[in-house]
Amino acid sequence: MDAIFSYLDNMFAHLPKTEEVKRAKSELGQMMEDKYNQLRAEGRSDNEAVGQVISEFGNLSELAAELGISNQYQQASSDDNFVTVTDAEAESFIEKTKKSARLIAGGIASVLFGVISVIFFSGYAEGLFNPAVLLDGEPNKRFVAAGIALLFICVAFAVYLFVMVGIGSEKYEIFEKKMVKLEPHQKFVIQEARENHRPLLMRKISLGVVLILLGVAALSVVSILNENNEALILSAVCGLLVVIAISMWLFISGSMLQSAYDKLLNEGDYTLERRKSQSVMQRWAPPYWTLMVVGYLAWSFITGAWHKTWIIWPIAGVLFGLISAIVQASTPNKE
Amino acid sequence: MISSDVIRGYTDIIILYLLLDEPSYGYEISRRITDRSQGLYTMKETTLYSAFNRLEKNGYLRSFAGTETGGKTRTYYELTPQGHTHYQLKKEEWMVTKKVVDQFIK
Repeated sequence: MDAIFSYLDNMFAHLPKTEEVKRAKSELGQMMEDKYNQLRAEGRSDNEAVGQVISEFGNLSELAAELGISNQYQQASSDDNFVTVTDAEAESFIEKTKKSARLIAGGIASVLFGVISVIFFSGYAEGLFNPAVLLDGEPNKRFVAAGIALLFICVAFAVYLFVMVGIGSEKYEIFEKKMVKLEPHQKFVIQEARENHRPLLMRKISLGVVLILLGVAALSVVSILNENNEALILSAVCGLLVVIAISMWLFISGSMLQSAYDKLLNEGDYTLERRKSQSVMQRWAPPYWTLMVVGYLAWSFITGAWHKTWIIWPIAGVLFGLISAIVQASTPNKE
Repeated sequence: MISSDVIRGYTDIIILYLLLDEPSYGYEISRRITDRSQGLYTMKETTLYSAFNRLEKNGYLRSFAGTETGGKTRTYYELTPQGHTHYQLKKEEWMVTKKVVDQFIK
Protein backbone atom coordinates (compact mmCIF):
# COMPACT_ATOMS: atom_id res chain seq x y z
CA MET A 1 0.00 0.00 0.00
CA ASP A 2 2.81 2.39 0.92
CA ALA A 3 4.40 1.44 -2.39
CA ILE A 4 1.45 3.00 -4.20
CA PHE A 5 1.80 6.33 -2.46
CA SER A 6 5.55 6.48 -2.87
CA TYR A 7 5.04 5.63 -6.54
CA LEU A 8 2.58 8.50 -6.83
CA ASP A 9 4.93 10.85 -4.94
CA ASN A 10 7.70 9.97 -7.35
CA MET A 11 5.55 10.64 -10.37
CA PHE A 12 4.57 14.03 -9.12
CA ALA A 13 7.90 14.96 -7.54
CA HIS A 14 9.05 17.13 -10.43
CA LEU A 15 5.78 18.84 -11.16
CA PRO A 16 4.92 22.38 -10.03
CA LYS A 17 2.67 22.39 -6.96
CA THR A 18 -0.29 24.14 -8.56
CA GLU A 19 -3.88 23.60 -7.42
CA GLU A 20 -4.64 21.54 -10.51
CA VAL A 21 -1.65 19.27 -9.96
CA LYS A 22 -2.51 18.77 -6.29
CA ARG A 23 -6.08 17.92 -7.14
CA ALA A 24 -5.01 15.45 -9.83
CA LYS A 25 -2.64 13.77 -7.40
CA SER A 26 -5.23 13.37 -4.68
CA GLU A 27 -7.91 12.12 -7.09
CA LEU A 28 -5.57 9.60 -8.68
CA GLY A 29 -4.40 8.51 -5.23
CA GLN A 30 -8.00 8.00 -4.16
CA MET A 31 -8.76 5.82 -7.18
CA MET A 32 -5.60 3.79 -6.68
CA GLU A 33 -6.32 3.29 -3.00
CA ASP A 34 -9.89 2.16 -3.73
CA LYS A 35 -8.67 -0.26 -6.37
CA TYR A 36 -5.96 -1.59 -4.07
CA ASN A 37 -8.46 -2.20 -1.26
CA GLN A 38 -10.86 -3.93 -3.63
CA LEU A 39 -8.10 -6.24 -4.95
CA ARG A 40 -7.01 -7.06 -1.41
CA ALA A 41 -10.63 -7.81 -0.48
CA GLU A 42 -10.73 -10.22 -3.43
CA GLY A 43 -7.82 -12.08 -1.89
CA ARG A 44 -4.85 -10.75 -3.86
CA SER A 45 -1.51 -10.43 -2.06
CA ASP A 46 -0.08 -7.00 -1.30
CA ASN A 47 2.48 -7.42 -4.08
CA GLU A 48 -0.04 -8.53 -6.69
CA ALA A 49 -2.41 -5.70 -5.82
CA VAL A 50 0.32 -3.04 -5.93
CA GLY A 51 1.59 -4.45 -9.24
CA GLN A 52 -1.83 -4.40 -10.86
CA VAL A 53 -2.71 -0.93 -9.58
CA ILE A 54 0.54 0.50 -10.88
CA SER A 55 0.37 -1.24 -14.23
CA GLU A 56 -3.17 0.05 -14.77
CA PHE A 57 -2.31 3.56 -13.69
CA GLY A 58 -1.61 4.86 -17.18
CA ASN A 59 0.64 7.66 -18.23
CA LEU A 60 0.93 11.12 -16.70
CA SER A 61 1.66 12.66 -20.08
CA GLU A 62 -2.04 12.09 -20.82
CA LEU A 63 -2.74 14.76 -18.24
CA ALA A 64 -0.06 17.13 -19.48
CA ALA A 65 -2.51 19.44 -21.23
CA GLU A 66 -4.98 19.50 -18.31
CA LEU A 67 -2.25 20.24 -15.80
CA GLY A 68 -0.45 22.82 -17.89
CA ILE A 69 2.79 20.84 -17.79
CA SER A 70 3.10 19.95 -21.48
CA ASN A 71 6.36 21.92 -21.74
CA GLN A 72 8.10 19.59 -19.34
CA TYR A 73 7.11 16.52 -21.28
CA GLN A 74 8.30 17.95 -24.55
CA GLN A 75 11.62 18.91 -23.01
CA ALA A 76 12.22 15.51 -21.53
CA SER A 77 11.41 13.59 -24.67
CA SER A 78 13.47 15.76 -26.98
CA ASP A 79 16.69 15.08 -25.05
CA ASP A 80 19.16 13.49 -27.44
CA ASN A 81 20.78 11.07 -25.03
CA PHE A 82 17.50 9.38 -24.23
CA VAL A 83 15.26 6.96 -26.00
CA THR A 84 11.78 6.01 -24.89
CA VAL A 85 10.46 2.49 -24.90
CA THR A 86 6.96 1.02 -24.93
CA ASP A 87 5.91 -1.81 -22.63
CA ALA A 88 5.79 -4.18 -25.60
CA GLU A 89 9.29 -3.16 -26.74
CA ALA A 90 10.73 -3.68 -23.28
CA GLU A 91 9.11 -7.08 -23.07
CA SER A 92 10.28 -8.21 -26.49
CA PHE A 93 13.78 -6.92 -25.71
CA ILE A 94 13.89 -9.14 -22.62
CA GLU A 95 12.55 -12.08 -24.62
CA LYS A 96 15.12 -11.52 -27.37
CA THR A 97 17.87 -11.37 -24.74
CA LYS A 98 16.82 -14.70 -23.27
CA LYS A 99 16.80 -16.19 -26.76
CA SER A 100 20.22 -14.69 -27.59
CA ALA A 101 21.64 -16.10 -24.36
CA ARG A 102 20.42 -19.57 -25.34
CA LEU A 103 21.91 -19.19 -28.82
CA ILE A 104 25.30 -17.97 -27.58
CA ALA A 105 25.50 -20.60 -24.85
CA GLY A 106 24.39 -23.23 -27.36
CA GLY A 107 27.07 -22.09 -29.82
CA ILE A 108 29.78 -22.32 -27.19
CA ALA A 109 28.52 -25.73 -26.11
CA SER A 110 28.59 -26.84 -29.73
CA VAL A 111 32.21 -25.72 -30.20
CA LEU A 112 33.23 -27.46 -26.98
CA PHE A 113 31.43 -30.61 -28.10
CA GLY A 114 33.47 -30.47 -31.32
CA VAL A 115 36.65 -30.22 -29.26
CA ILE A 116 35.51 -33.19 -27.16
CA SER A 117 35.04 -35.27 -30.28
CA VAL A 118 38.54 -34.41 -31.55
CA ILE A 119 40.12 -35.29 -28.20
CA PHE A 120 38.08 -38.44 -27.81
CA PHE A 121 38.60 -39.71 -31.35
CA SER A 122 42.31 -38.95 -31.41
CA GLY A 123 42.65 -40.98 -28.20
CA TYR A 124 40.40 -43.67 -29.64
CA ALA A 125 42.54 -43.79 -32.79
CA GLU A 126 45.57 -44.50 -30.65
CA GLY A 127 43.79 -47.50 -29.22
CA LEU A 128 43.43 -46.11 -25.72
CA PHE A 129 39.93 -47.50 -25.31
CA ASN A 130 40.09 -50.44 -27.65
CA PRO A 131 43.51 -51.67 -28.87
CA ALA A 132 41.79 -53.54 -31.71
CA VAL A 133 41.43 -50.32 -33.74
CA LEU A 134 45.19 -49.99 -34.19
CA LEU A 135 46.50 -50.72 -37.68
CA ASP A 136 49.84 -52.57 -37.38
CA GLY A 137 50.44 -50.79 -34.06
CA GLU A 138 49.92 -47.39 -35.71
CA PRO A 139 47.08 -44.95 -34.78
CA ASN A 140 44.03 -45.43 -36.96
CA LYS A 141 43.87 -42.19 -38.95
CA ARG A 142 40.23 -42.74 -39.90
CA PHE A 143 39.13 -41.98 -36.34
CA VAL A 144 41.29 -38.85 -36.15
CA ALA A 145 39.66 -37.67 -39.37
CA ALA A 146 36.19 -38.44 -38.02
CA GLY A 147 36.90 -36.37 -34.89
CA ILE A 148 38.14 -33.42 -36.90
CA ALA A 149 35.17 -33.65 -39.28
CA LEU A 150 32.81 -33.59 -36.29
CA LEU A 151 34.65 -30.54 -34.95
CA PHE A 152 34.11 -28.66 -38.20
CA ILE A 153 30.45 -29.58 -38.26
CA CYS A 154 30.07 -28.34 -34.69
CA VAL A 155 31.92 -25.11 -35.41
CA ALA A 156 29.74 -24.50 -38.47
CA PHE A 157 26.64 -25.07 -36.36
CA ALA A 158 28.00 -22.67 -33.73
CA VAL A 159 28.61 -20.01 -36.37
CA TYR A 160 25.02 -20.48 -37.53
CA LEU A 161 23.80 -19.94 -33.95
CA PHE A 162 26.00 -16.86 -33.47
CA VAL A 163 24.62 -15.35 -36.69
CA MET A 164 21.08 -16.02 -35.44
CA VAL A 165 21.85 -13.86 -32.40
CA GLY A 166 22.32 -10.87 -34.67
CA ILE A 167 19.02 -11.37 -36.50
CA GLY A 168 16.32 -9.18 -35.03
CA SER A 169 18.67 -7.56 -32.55
CA GLU A 170 19.38 -4.43 -34.66
CA LYS A 171 16.44 -2.53 -33.26
CA TYR A 172 17.70 -3.05 -29.71
CA GLU A 173 21.21 -1.77 -30.41
CA ILE A 174 20.05 1.68 -29.43
CA PHE A 175 19.78 0.47 -25.81
CA GLU A 176 23.54 -0.17 -25.88
CA LYS A 177 24.38 3.44 -26.52
CA LYS A 178 21.55 5.59 -25.29
CA MET A 179 19.98 6.03 -21.92
CA VAL A 180 16.49 4.62 -21.69
CA LYS A 181 13.75 6.90 -20.49
CA LEU A 182 11.17 4.83 -18.65
CA GLU A 183 7.72 5.71 -17.50
CA PRO A 184 7.48 5.26 -13.73
CA HIS A 185 5.28 2.17 -14.00
CA GLN A 186 7.76 0.58 -16.41
CA LYS A 187 10.58 1.32 -14.02
CA PHE A 188 8.64 -0.30 -11.20
CA VAL A 189 7.88 -3.46 -13.19
CA ILE A 190 11.43 -3.86 -14.50
CA GLN A 191 13.05 -3.23 -11.12
CA GLU A 192 10.77 -5.84 -9.64
CA ALA A 193 11.73 -8.35 -12.35
CA ARG A 194 15.41 -7.65 -11.82
CA GLU A 195 15.20 -8.06 -8.06
CA ASN A 196 13.37 -11.35 -8.53
CA HIS A 197 16.08 -12.52 -10.89
CA ARG A 198 19.06 -11.55 -8.73
CA PRO A 199 19.08 -14.57 -6.38
CA LEU A 200 18.88 -16.88 -9.40
CA LEU A 201 21.80 -15.06 -11.03
CA MET A 202 23.92 -15.46 -7.90
CA ARG A 203 23.11 -19.17 -7.72
CA LYS A 204 23.95 -19.61 -11.39
CA ILE A 205 27.31 -17.87 -11.10
CA SER A 206 28.42 -19.68 -7.96
CA LEU A 207 27.25 -23.02 -9.33
CA GLY A 208 29.16 -22.34 -12.55
CA VAL A 209 32.40 -21.47 -10.74
CA VAL A 210 32.08 -24.48 -8.42
CA LEU A 211 31.43 -26.82 -11.37
CA ILE A 212 34.54 -25.65 -13.23
CA LEU A 213 36.72 -25.92 -10.15
CA LEU A 214 35.36 -29.41 -9.43
CA GLY A 215 36.03 -30.46 -13.02
CA VAL A 216 39.61 -29.21 -12.81
CA ALA A 217 40.09 -30.84 -9.40
CA ALA A 218 38.77 -34.16 -10.72
CA LEU A 219 41.12 -33.99 -13.68
CA SER A 220 44.11 -33.19 -11.43
CA VAL A 221 43.33 -36.07 -9.07
CA VAL A 222 42.83 -38.49 -11.92
CA SER A 223 46.07 -37.52 -13.65
CA ILE A 224 48.13 -37.68 -10.45
CA LEU A 225 46.73 -41.00 -9.23
CA ASN A 226 46.51 -42.72 -12.59
CA GLU A 227 49.48 -41.26 -14.38
CA ASN A 228 49.65 -44.13 -16.83
CA ASN A 229 45.98 -44.60 -17.51
CA GLU A 230 45.66 -42.31 -20.53
CA ALA A 231 42.14 -43.47 -21.29
CA LEU A 232 40.97 -42.31 -17.86
CA ILE A 233 42.76 -38.97 -18.12
CA LEU A 234 41.26 -38.38 -21.55
CA SER A 235 37.78 -39.10 -20.20
CA ALA A 236 38.38 -36.64 -17.36
CA VAL A 237 39.39 -33.97 -19.89
CA CYS A 238 36.21 -34.59 -21.88
CA GLY A 239 34.22 -34.45 -18.63
CA LEU A 240 35.82 -31.11 -17.80
CA LEU A 241 34.81 -29.73 -21.19
CA VAL A 242 31.21 -30.82 -20.62
CA VAL A 243 31.29 -29.06 -17.25
CA ILE A 244 32.70 -25.92 -18.88
CA ALA A 245 29.86 -25.95 -21.42
CA ILE A 246 27.30 -26.19 -18.60
CA SER A 247 28.98 -23.41 -16.62
CA MET A 248 29.07 -21.15 -19.67
CA TRP A 249 25.35 -21.75 -20.07
CA LEU A 250 24.76 -20.73 -16.47
CA PHE A 251 27.01 -17.64 -16.69
CA ILE A 252 25.62 -16.42 -19.98
CA SER A 253 21.93 -16.98 -19.35
CA GLY A 254 22.21 -15.27 -15.96
CA SER A 255 24.41 -12.34 -16.83
CA MET A 256 22.80 -11.47 -20.16
CA LEU A 257 19.35 -11.22 -18.60
CA GLN A 258 20.75 -9.16 -15.74
CA SER A 259 22.45 -6.73 -18.06
CA ALA A 260 19.30 -6.45 -20.18
CA TYR A 261 17.49 -5.24 -17.06
CA ASP A 262 20.40 -2.92 -16.28
CA LYS A 263 20.26 -1.49 -19.79
CA LEU A 264 16.59 -0.63 -19.42
CA LEU A 265 17.15 0.84 -15.97
CA ASN A 266 20.41 2.63 -16.85
CA GLU A 267 22.15 0.94 -13.95
CA GLY A 268 25.11 -1.35 -13.33
CA ASP A 269 27.31 -1.26 -16.41
CA TYR A 270 24.82 0.99 -18.13
CA THR A 271 24.93 4.22 -16.19
CA LEU A 272 25.65 7.27 -18.31
CA GLU A 273 29.37 7.17 -17.43
CA ARG A 274 29.91 3.47 -17.94
CA ARG A 275 27.95 3.01 -21.14
CA LYS A 276 30.79 4.08 -23.35
CA SER A 277 33.56 1.95 -21.89
CA GLN A 278 32.06 -1.26 -20.68
CA SER A 279 33.43 -4.76 -20.62
CA VAL A 280 31.02 -7.46 -19.62
CA MET A 281 32.05 -11.07 -19.57
CA GLN A 282 29.12 -12.13 -21.72
CA ARG A 283 30.67 -10.12 -24.55
CA TRP A 284 34.02 -11.75 -24.08
CA ALA A 285 32.86 -15.34 -23.77
CA PRO A 286 32.40 -16.10 -27.50
CA PRO A 287 35.70 -14.50 -28.65
CA TYR A 288 37.50 -16.00 -25.64
CA TRP A 289 36.45 -19.56 -26.41
CA THR A 290 36.91 -19.11 -30.15
CA LEU A 291 40.47 -17.96 -29.47
CA MET A 292 41.06 -21.01 -27.27
CA VAL A 293 39.79 -23.33 -30.00
CA VAL A 294 41.99 -21.65 -32.61
CA GLY A 295 45.00 -21.82 -30.30
CA TYR A 296 44.24 -25.42 -29.44
CA LEU A 297 43.88 -26.47 -33.09
CA ALA A 298 46.95 -24.53 -34.24
CA TRP A 299 49.12 -25.99 -31.48
CA SER A 300 47.79 -29.50 -32.07
CA PHE A 301 48.10 -29.49 -35.86
CA ILE A 302 51.59 -27.93 -35.82
CA THR A 303 53.06 -30.19 -33.16
CA GLY A 304 50.82 -33.20 -33.78
CA ALA A 305 50.87 -33.73 -30.00
CA TRP A 306 47.10 -34.20 -29.55
CA HIS A 307 47.70 -36.17 -26.37
CA LYS A 308 49.35 -33.16 -24.71
CA THR A 309 47.55 -30.14 -26.10
CA TRP A 310 44.34 -30.76 -24.13
CA ILE A 311 46.14 -29.08 -21.23
CA ILE A 312 44.85 -25.83 -22.75
CA TRP A 313 41.31 -26.65 -21.56
CA PRO A 314 41.76 -26.91 -17.81
CA ILE A 315 43.86 -23.74 -17.91
CA ALA A 316 41.31 -21.90 -20.04
CA GLY A 317 38.49 -23.07 -17.78
CA VAL A 318 40.11 -21.94 -14.54
CA LEU A 319 41.14 -18.65 -16.10
CA PHE A 320 37.59 -17.98 -17.27
CA GLY A 321 36.11 -18.87 -13.90
CA LEU A 322 38.62 -16.59 -12.21
CA ILE A 323 38.01 -13.66 -14.55
CA SER A 324 34.25 -13.88 -14.28
CA ALA A 325 34.40 -14.14 -10.50
CA ILE A 326 36.58 -11.01 -10.39
CA VAL A 327 34.35 -9.11 -12.82
CA GLN A 328 31.29 -10.06 -10.79
CA ALA A 329 32.90 -9.09 -7.48
CA SER A 330 34.19 -5.77 -8.75
CA THR A 331 30.77 -4.71 -10.04
CA PRO A 332 29.17 -3.06 -7.05
CA ASN A 333 25.44 -3.44 -6.59
CA LYS A 334 24.21 0.05 -6.85
CA GLU A 335 20.91 1.01 -5.31
CA MET B 1 -7.65 -6.45 -24.51
CA ILE B 2 -8.62 -3.43 -26.61
CA SER B 3 -5.87 -1.02 -27.54
CA SER B 4 -6.33 2.36 -25.90
CA ASP B 5 -5.87 4.12 -29.25
CA VAL B 6 -8.95 2.51 -30.75
CA ILE B 7 -11.26 3.29 -27.87
CA ARG B 8 -9.98 6.78 -27.14
CA GLY B 9 -12.78 8.53 -29.05
CA TYR B 10 -15.39 6.73 -26.94
CA THR B 11 -14.02 7.47 -23.49
CA ASP B 12 -16.55 10.28 -23.03
CA ILE B 13 -19.60 8.30 -24.01
CA ILE B 14 -18.62 5.47 -21.67
CA ILE B 15 -18.28 7.80 -18.69
CA LEU B 16 -21.42 9.79 -19.49
CA TYR B 17 -23.42 6.55 -19.81
CA LEU B 18 -22.36 5.39 -16.36
CA LEU B 19 -23.45 8.69 -14.85
CA LEU B 20 -26.86 8.86 -16.57
CA ASP B 21 -28.83 7.53 -13.60
CA GLU B 22 -26.87 8.57 -10.57
CA PRO B 23 -23.68 10.36 -9.47
CA SER B 24 -20.60 8.24 -8.90
CA TYR B 25 -16.91 8.49 -8.04
CA GLY B 26 -13.61 7.55 -9.75
CA TYR B 27 -12.98 4.00 -8.69
CA GLU B 28 -16.61 2.94 -8.93
CA ILE B 29 -16.79 4.18 -12.49
CA SER B 30 -13.52 2.45 -13.31
CA ARG B 31 -14.78 -0.84 -11.85
CA ARG B 32 -18.09 -0.61 -13.70
CA ILE B 33 -16.24 -0.06 -16.98
CA THR B 34 -14.21 -3.21 -16.43
CA ASP B 35 -17.31 -5.17 -15.33
CA ARG B 36 -19.59 -4.03 -18.14
CA SER B 37 -16.90 -4.76 -20.73
CA GLN B 38 -16.49 -8.20 -19.16
CA GLY B 39 -12.83 -7.53 -18.47
CA LEU B 40 -12.05 -6.75 -22.12
CA TYR B 41 -11.29 -3.13 -21.36
CA THR B 42 -9.88 -1.45 -18.28
CA MET B 43 -9.64 2.30 -18.37
CA LYS B 44 -6.35 3.59 -17.01
CA GLU B 45 -6.64 5.97 -14.05
CA THR B 46 -4.93 8.78 -15.93
CA THR B 47 -7.31 8.37 -18.89
CA LEU B 48 -10.27 8.47 -16.55
CA TYR B 49 -9.08 11.51 -14.65
CA SER B 50 -8.18 13.32 -17.83
CA ALA B 51 -11.72 12.69 -19.12
CA PHE B 52 -13.34 13.90 -15.87
CA ASN B 53 -11.31 17.05 -16.10
CA ARG B 54 -12.18 17.71 -19.72
CA LEU B 55 -15.88 16.89 -19.32
CA GLU B 56 -16.11 19.13 -16.31
CA LYS B 57 -14.42 22.04 -18.10
CA ASN B 58 -16.88 21.64 -20.97
CA GLY B 59 -19.77 21.82 -18.52
CA TYR B 60 -20.97 18.23 -19.00
CA LEU B 61 -20.08 17.11 -15.48
CA ARG B 62 -20.23 18.70 -12.08
CA SER B 63 -18.11 17.47 -9.20
CA PHE B 64 -18.90 17.62 -5.49
CA ALA B 65 -17.53 16.12 -2.31
CA GLY B 66 -19.74 13.30 -1.13
CA THR B 67 -19.66 10.62 1.50
CA GLU B 68 -20.60 7.01 1.04
CA THR B 69 -22.78 5.67 3.88
CA GLY B 70 -20.26 5.07 6.63
CA GLY B 71 -17.44 5.56 4.15
CA LYS B 72 -14.90 8.24 3.45
CA THR B 73 -15.21 11.49 1.56
CA ARG B 74 -14.74 11.22 -2.18
CA THR B 75 -15.14 13.42 -5.21
CA TYR B 76 -18.42 12.50 -6.89
CA TYR B 77 -19.34 13.40 -10.44
CA GLU B 78 -22.82 13.98 -11.77
CA LEU B 79 -24.21 14.75 -15.18
CA THR B 80 -25.39 18.32 -15.91
CA PRO B 81 -28.32 18.94 -18.32
CA GLN B 82 -25.70 19.77 -20.98
CA GLY B 83 -24.11 16.43 -20.18
CA HIS B 84 -27.38 14.63 -20.95
CA THR B 85 -27.68 16.50 -24.25
CA HIS B 86 -24.06 15.73 -25.06
CA TYR B 87 -24.65 12.04 -24.35
CA GLN B 88 -27.60 11.99 -26.79
CA LEU B 89 -25.47 13.66 -29.46
CA LYS B 90 -22.58 11.26 -28.95
CA LYS B 91 -25.02 8.36 -29.03
CA GLU B 92 -26.45 9.39 -32.39
CA GLU B 93 -22.95 9.99 -33.70
CA TRP B 94 -21.96 6.47 -32.69
CA MET B 95 -25.08 4.93 -34.29
CA VAL B 96 -24.11 6.51 -37.59
CA THR B 97 -20.44 5.61 -37.20
CA LYS B 98 -21.32 2.02 -36.40
CA LYS B 99 -23.66 1.83 -39.40
CA VAL B 100 -20.97 3.17 -41.72
CA VAL B 101 -18.19 0.92 -40.44
CA ASP B 102 -20.50 -2.10 -40.52
CA GLN B 103 -20.85 -1.61 -44.27
CA PHE B 104 -17.21 -2.59 -44.58
CA ILE B 105 -17.27 -5.62 -42.32
CA LYS B 106 -18.20 -9.05 -43.62
